[in-house]
Amino acid sequence: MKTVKRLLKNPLSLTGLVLLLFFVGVAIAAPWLAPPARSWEPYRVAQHGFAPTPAPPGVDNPLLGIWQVATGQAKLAQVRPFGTTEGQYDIYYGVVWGTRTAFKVGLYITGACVLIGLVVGSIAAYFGRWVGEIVMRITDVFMAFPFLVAAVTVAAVLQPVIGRGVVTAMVALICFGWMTYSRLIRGDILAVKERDYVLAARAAGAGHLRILVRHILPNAIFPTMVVASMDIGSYVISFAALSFLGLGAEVGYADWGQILSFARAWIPRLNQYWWIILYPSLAMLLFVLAWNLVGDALRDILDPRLRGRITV
Amino acid sequence: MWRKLSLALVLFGVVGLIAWPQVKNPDTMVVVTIGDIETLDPAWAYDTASGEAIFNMYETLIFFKGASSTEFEPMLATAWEVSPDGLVYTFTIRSGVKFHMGGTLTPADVVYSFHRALIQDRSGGPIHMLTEVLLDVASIGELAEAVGDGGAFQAIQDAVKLVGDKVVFTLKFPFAPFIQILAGTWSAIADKEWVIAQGGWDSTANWRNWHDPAAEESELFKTANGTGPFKLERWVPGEEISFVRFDGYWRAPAKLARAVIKVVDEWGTRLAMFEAGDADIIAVPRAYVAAMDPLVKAGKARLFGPNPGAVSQTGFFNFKVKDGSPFMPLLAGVAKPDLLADVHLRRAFNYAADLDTYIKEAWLGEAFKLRGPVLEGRLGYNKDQPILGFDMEKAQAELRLAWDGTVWKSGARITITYNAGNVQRKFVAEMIERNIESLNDIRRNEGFRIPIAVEVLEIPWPSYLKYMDDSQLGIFFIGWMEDYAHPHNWVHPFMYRTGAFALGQNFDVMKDVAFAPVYATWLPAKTYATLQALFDELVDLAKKEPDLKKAELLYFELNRLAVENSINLASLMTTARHYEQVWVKGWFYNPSFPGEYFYNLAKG
Amino acid sequence: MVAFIVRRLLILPIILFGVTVFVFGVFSFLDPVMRASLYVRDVPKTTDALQRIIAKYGLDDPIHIQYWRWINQVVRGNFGWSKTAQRPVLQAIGHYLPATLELALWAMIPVIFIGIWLGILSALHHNRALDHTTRVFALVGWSFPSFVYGLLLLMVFYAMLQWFAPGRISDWVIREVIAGTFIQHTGMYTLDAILNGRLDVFGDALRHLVMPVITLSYIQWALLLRVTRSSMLETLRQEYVITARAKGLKERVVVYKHAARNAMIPVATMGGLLLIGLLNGVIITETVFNYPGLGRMAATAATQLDILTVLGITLFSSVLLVFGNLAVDILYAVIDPRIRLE
Repeated sequence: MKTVKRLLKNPLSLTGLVLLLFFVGVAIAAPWLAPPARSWEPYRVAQHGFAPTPAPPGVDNPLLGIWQVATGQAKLAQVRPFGTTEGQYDIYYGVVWGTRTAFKVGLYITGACVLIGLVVGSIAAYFGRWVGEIVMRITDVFMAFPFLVAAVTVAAVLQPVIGRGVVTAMVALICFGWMTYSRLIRGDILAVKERDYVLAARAAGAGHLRILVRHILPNAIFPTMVVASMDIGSYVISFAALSFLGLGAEVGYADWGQILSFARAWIPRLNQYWWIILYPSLAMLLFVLAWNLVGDALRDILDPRLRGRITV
Repeated sequence: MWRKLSLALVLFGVVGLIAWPQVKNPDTMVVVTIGDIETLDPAWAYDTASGEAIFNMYETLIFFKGASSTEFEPMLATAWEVSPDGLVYTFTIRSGVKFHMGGTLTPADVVYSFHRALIQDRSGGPIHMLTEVLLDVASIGELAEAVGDGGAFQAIQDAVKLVGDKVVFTLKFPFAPFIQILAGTWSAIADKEWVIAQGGWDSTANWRNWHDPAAEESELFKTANGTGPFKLERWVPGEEISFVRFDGYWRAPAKLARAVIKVVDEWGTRLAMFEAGDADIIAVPRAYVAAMDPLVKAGKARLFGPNPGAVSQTGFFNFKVKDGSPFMPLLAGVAKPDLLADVHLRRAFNYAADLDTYIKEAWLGEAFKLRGPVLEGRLGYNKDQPILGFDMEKAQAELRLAWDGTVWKSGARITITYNAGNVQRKFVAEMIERNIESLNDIRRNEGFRIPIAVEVLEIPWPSYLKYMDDSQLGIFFIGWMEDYAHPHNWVHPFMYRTGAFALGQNFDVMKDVAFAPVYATWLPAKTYATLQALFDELVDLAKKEPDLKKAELLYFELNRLAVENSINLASLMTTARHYEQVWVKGWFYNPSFPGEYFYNLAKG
Repeated sequence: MVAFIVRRLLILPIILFGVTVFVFGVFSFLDPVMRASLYVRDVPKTTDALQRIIAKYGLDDPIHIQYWRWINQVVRGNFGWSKTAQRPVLQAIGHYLPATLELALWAMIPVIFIGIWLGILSALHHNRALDHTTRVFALVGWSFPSFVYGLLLLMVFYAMLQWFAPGRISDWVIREVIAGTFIQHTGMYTLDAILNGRLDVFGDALRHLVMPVITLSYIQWALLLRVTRSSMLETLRQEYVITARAKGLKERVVVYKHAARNAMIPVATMGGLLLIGLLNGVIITETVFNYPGLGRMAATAATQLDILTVLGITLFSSVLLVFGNLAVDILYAVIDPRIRLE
């Protein structure tokens, strides 16, 4: 498509796409890059003992170390390409498998939000005034919550009920992320609803659902895609923030935010224990940056469509 | 105009930034710790943060002598006697002692303070220790239900009364630790007239209004008037509490003019405050001692430790998990609530616990294996009590015997839980998990494919409390801190049917338990209906035994039974380290202190 | 316009009702024993402790009864006791609000100046080196989790250089407040320092504000920059700008007097988003820097399951958001005559 071509031409979005491809590669190759000790629990970060002090990388050249581990020449416990955190959680392992977590988190949350927003927005736009009013008021109630405060509260309450973990945090974030999409979709549908081709289709006897799917949604998709691509990155960050506060992934789970929460205690000695913060934050930064570059470029390309719209 | 204003602000800021003064605080001790004070009311407080504040401002009849938890010296009492039957304690009260706000200590204040505590008896508070011994009930509410409010009022008048100018305590049964209970912050003495003036109980039979208040409802919640060496300057909840020296103190005034306890939950910030000299003593979590040790080496900090605490960390087996539990043990894929009731299974877990490695790595060698519920250093600790060590061969043997071999053949699933925020417990659980699951390789070679799976789960405190209360946990790790330094405070929670942990362990699943004494040889050998009945009888006997030698043997017996029945897993006594600036003087360790006792300390 | 405002204000109670119902609804998932854990922080040493606490606070009553009890107190002005802050909830909010307000207001300065100024500059140098640099800078800021950023600032400026410190104010200032030599009029140390004429207190307060303000504002000005830039680009293409240039007006006048003014219109609508961003940002920022404000209290209250405090903060921020959005919408209508609020 034209859009894809333009994306590839723009140097910033090209960088973003290349970075994304890199991360996709890492995510797919995770079982080879960092072989799990227990194949049924790959997200459990490899642990080399229990000593409380973080251990430095075991090799001078991390790339060489990665090569050795990936080709099976050496064991992770000896090489430790990125060092360990307190409690000896291997950071390299956490970063590699954390890529999968990041994709899961970003895509699932955004996907769920888009889906819910789609359903809610469609209902609000299509079924007349009263239904629309009620639905939009409910949306208003959800929007009256400051996002992170609300997500923190829901995550904190759900934790005792469904246990600490990735699912709890995702539910909490989804709970307060769908509103933007429902408003967006509703606005698009309302705008498109009265257009000629829709009226024509209706005159020709097409049902509501058919019109929705075949005519309205394809046109609404682009602005949604732009918002979604920026959101994926920001959800990864929000998820990391929840982990940082102790409400996200459990300790020892392969998640970048979870590894970074270890860094907190070593701040005064961070020049000594620099590896705890360097690698996971580099991973997170590049990942989110990649999505933002692509999303930003998309926005520029589709700019005329978005004029006057306030989107996150 | 805006530009000029913003320029002015920037200049102001720059000049201000450069011009900050240097401040020294030579007379003020600054302690930075975690954990917020819940209340300043001595009868209400049960947590160590509140206890730390209270025991610097209020005083008790007796106080710990030096570094001892079991020897006492006179404080507000000058002398005391115990009747030969151990039921009556008589105290002579010191004269010439002043309260911070001007009152004078009288024996009536002492009696009032205890009466007030007894009628307050807030839910989950410390006063159960007093009601159990003085009134033989778990709570004053329970007594009032039996004999009415008037009856309860009369009972406390009889339990603690003024005879002449002496204060007399009458116990319901002889209980040696009573003297220790009197040294706790819940036994602190307040000024009767002043408390009443603050809206406190007026000492009449109409006590219901002051019973079981919420923390903030107590008249002594945020104001304090004691006889101690320091008086309250200012308390900002969640931030800090500061004390100033009380110059009218009945002993020599404190050396420090002021003391401050700040609450800073971030370890990094505490360390930075220490390095900048803004903090004199900081709380150092076990995991981060490596950051402090270079400072000690460089002579910039001083270390005391390891200090054997009054704290243990233990795993508990639930002999019967309640239906509907998410942690239900499975045998051959089917729910088996009493899976852990088999002693071979429990022994296998104990053999799989490589405690030496665990202690060395997670505790830097600063934890000690326990030989039963009683803590080392307490009466009744038997250093010769054999315990199960780390032995994978024996673990395998025991596992083969568990449930007549069904566990070994058909596999099982057991869940170990620990409460969130405690990484040490996570490690011991995971170590045991690893070791037990390593036996699956051997099993697979013998053709048994379904694994014996051990699941380790971290649970946040709200749900931990719920599941523990409801007997839904499988194997659970948690810590226990003693209230007073006596073995009863250990065997009760670990073995008695209403004990904090035993309640969730369901020992009554083990029926027809034969008992033959090894240490307490005067006891008859007999068969008990359940294991719980056996434990209960021995705990009661030991509690009421006046002869120290015999009591010791009874506790030896209890330890032996606990170990032989493997009711616990990986039981350790943990220690703490104390770090301070090199200019701090006078600190020594007493495991019964809830926190820093500023009267002993000086700076310079 | 008046009708619009009235309608919005009428909806406010409905929204607040919905918000509180939602919070109670979420908490109703919790077992009474779990809710009692707020008061029982350690293994209970007596068997009746839990049940007595549950009975005392009515934690096992049906959820609508608990809601009714709470609402009854709220209309009397009693929002309950905050176990987290150890004060009445309203007082707790009043105590911690000035700190957060101070942080947010100071953060607005770099947000507005850098965001708008760089946005305009970027648009003027469209697709040249400066434009690309600022855009990348903004994107990086947008991609960085704020707590990592805060941690890095702490590492450099506190641990290594010791220029700035976490927390809000140094000990000696607190001593002065207690001693009465420093009067707190507003609760905001910088403002009070000016009112008291104390340069040293001002400097100390500022010293503690630098890092949290930088952390809090980075994401916000990155956002503002993008919107300003695209709005400015749009405006510069307009005919009246070309006309103004053709008339021979100085470039500076064209840019600032004509183009920028009009470009600010969509930027003003960002006010709502900025407010949301600040409310979200303070939670993390205050936690990282141990800054005693509403954000930190909110985080602590949520993790401790302190429903009364959570309700108080939620209500407060909801009211703030609704009024904030209303103000922005009115502002939008006032600035842009093309917009009509119906």
